[in-house]
Amino acid sequence: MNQRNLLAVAILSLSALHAAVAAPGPSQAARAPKVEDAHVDAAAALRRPEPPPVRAVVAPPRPLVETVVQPGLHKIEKHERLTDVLKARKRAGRSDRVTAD
Amino acid sequence: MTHSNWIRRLLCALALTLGLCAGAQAQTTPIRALVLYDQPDSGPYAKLGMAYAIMLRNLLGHWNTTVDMKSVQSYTAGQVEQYSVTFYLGSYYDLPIPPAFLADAYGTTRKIVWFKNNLWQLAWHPSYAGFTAKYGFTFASLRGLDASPTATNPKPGFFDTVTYKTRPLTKYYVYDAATGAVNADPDVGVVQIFDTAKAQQLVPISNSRTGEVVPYVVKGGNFWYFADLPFSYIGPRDRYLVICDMLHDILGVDTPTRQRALVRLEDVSALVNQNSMTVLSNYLKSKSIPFGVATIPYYYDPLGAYNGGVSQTVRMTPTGVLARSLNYAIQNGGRIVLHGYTHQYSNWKNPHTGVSGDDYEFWDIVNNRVLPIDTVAAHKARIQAGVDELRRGGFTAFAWEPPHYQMSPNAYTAASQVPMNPLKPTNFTTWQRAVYYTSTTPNLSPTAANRDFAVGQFFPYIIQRDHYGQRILPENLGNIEYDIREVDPSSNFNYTWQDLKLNAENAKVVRDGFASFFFHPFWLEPEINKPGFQDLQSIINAIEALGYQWADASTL
Repeated sequence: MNQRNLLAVAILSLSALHAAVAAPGPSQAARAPKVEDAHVDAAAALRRPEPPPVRAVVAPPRPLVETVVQPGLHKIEKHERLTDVLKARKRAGRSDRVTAD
Repeated sequence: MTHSNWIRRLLCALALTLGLCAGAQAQTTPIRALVLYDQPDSGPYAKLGMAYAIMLRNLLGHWNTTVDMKSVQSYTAGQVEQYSVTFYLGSYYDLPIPPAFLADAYGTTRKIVWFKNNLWQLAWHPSYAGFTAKYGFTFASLRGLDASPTATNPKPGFFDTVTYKTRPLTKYYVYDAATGAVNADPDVGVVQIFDTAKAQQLVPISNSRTGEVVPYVVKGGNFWYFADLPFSYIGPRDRYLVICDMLHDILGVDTPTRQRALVRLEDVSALVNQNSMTVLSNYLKSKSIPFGVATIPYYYDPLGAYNGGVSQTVRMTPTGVLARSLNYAIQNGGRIVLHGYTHQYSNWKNPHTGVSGDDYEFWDIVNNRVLPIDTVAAHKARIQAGVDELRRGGFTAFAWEPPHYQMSPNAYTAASQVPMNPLKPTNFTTWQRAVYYTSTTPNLSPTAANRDFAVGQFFPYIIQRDHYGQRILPENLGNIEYDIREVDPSSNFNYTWQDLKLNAENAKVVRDGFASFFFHPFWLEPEINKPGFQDLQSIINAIEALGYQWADASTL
């Protein structure tokens, strides 16, 4: 990843983080004040305090460096070529012919 | 005897009987397990969670289990109560978890095992404000690489070392300075323990650069937490071995320590050097070590790559060099494994020469997809042809080994349905590492919408039933390889007996684990000019010194 891409990733990540922190969560949005709330009697509000605001679960910041994640083995470890032995035999001056006997 | 004494003795006998019955039942009744995974609606990683789930499901196949897999998004209320243990694989950052699962995971007394992401959706949710008080720990943060790698600082550090039973198990990391790609899975979920009477750090993970240590596995009551997905970049020295071993504890199956070793001679075909097989058979016999012989019964060179451009076939006969080599091996403790029918496919270069032993037989490796004819029936017929070809020479295998360790999903299914020995029609044992796919006809193009994943997996112990229904004997150490670029420029990789020894040392963390490896007899050929026989003896002796007991794979 070159410097420009790194910068782009960082900016995008910070933007996403800012958006996640700044934007209201679903429960906050649901509690947006209504017009009639302005007419609530102050004394009544003192008698019946608002329940504590429901805390939106904001995800923790994601690690900034993106990586390539591969599930499973990073190498199968099984790609041998059996006929290398034929090449070796020929290279040593022996026959590389295959026979049943 | 007084009346009360008689009743007391009767009650004691009854209690003892019930206790014994309960113990027996615990061994014979399948443990029901639910594996939940993340499945976003779309995107390049939509099926990644399923890939991890398959890998966990395979490990659970080591025990007598009944495993159900489903996306957490399809979870319905109350399901955790139908299982002894529920695993949640949090592979996708902040994918919303259904409230029903959050509520059930918090409320149940059944075992919950949570991996990596999204624990904050439960531990930080106001409806479950008692999480910390209940389990003694809470989620704190996500951590990844300490900084972006650069050419001058290619490994900036991360939580890379899991210490388990005193063994340091290091996570894979490769930085490609040319492309900037970081091939690694460094991110972990960090939890904080508040009450050590309720929560215990069972396994730590450390940042080898900074020295920081955080929990890798923590358990609070019935709730287990793993800091990462232990199925990425797995290897024989990797923290993958931790989940392999700890599943004994999670499932609550008391398993005594018993560690065994297996060895297999590989790719024995018409190309075999009879003298090499004699030397190896004599040596293993002298050590009282039973050994497998992975046999390719039908030699085929359709393009005449080693026959002047003329197609060549060498069939199995009772008197040929292959049969003579096999007979001598059998007389000295060898057990036949069927390693393909031809170990190549059709008249293709798939990918090398089209010659037996070089190419893939049940997977189109050139295009990384299934073969044009890819039905269970067709693959069963091909495997059966291999069984029949062996019988032409008078031989019967006890297990199947996929050529180059890769087949299609339908071929794996076929392998679980073809008995190697007609006298044992219910024996479908295989001996392998395997590749698992997230669909039956996978589209593995990285740019494909809803792309599939293919995951290679090895096992440190016997898997009684995997995702495709196979019974698998393990091969977990690899094989000795030499750089012979003077013979073939692409055969340029060294994997030493010391590498296998280190793998075997790490495999000891698995209480009922194996040290299982394979060896190519062609390394003894004088034209190759490598210390193959000497190195084989070194690894055999090293495995014995580690305390493993050699086993006859055909009796497992």
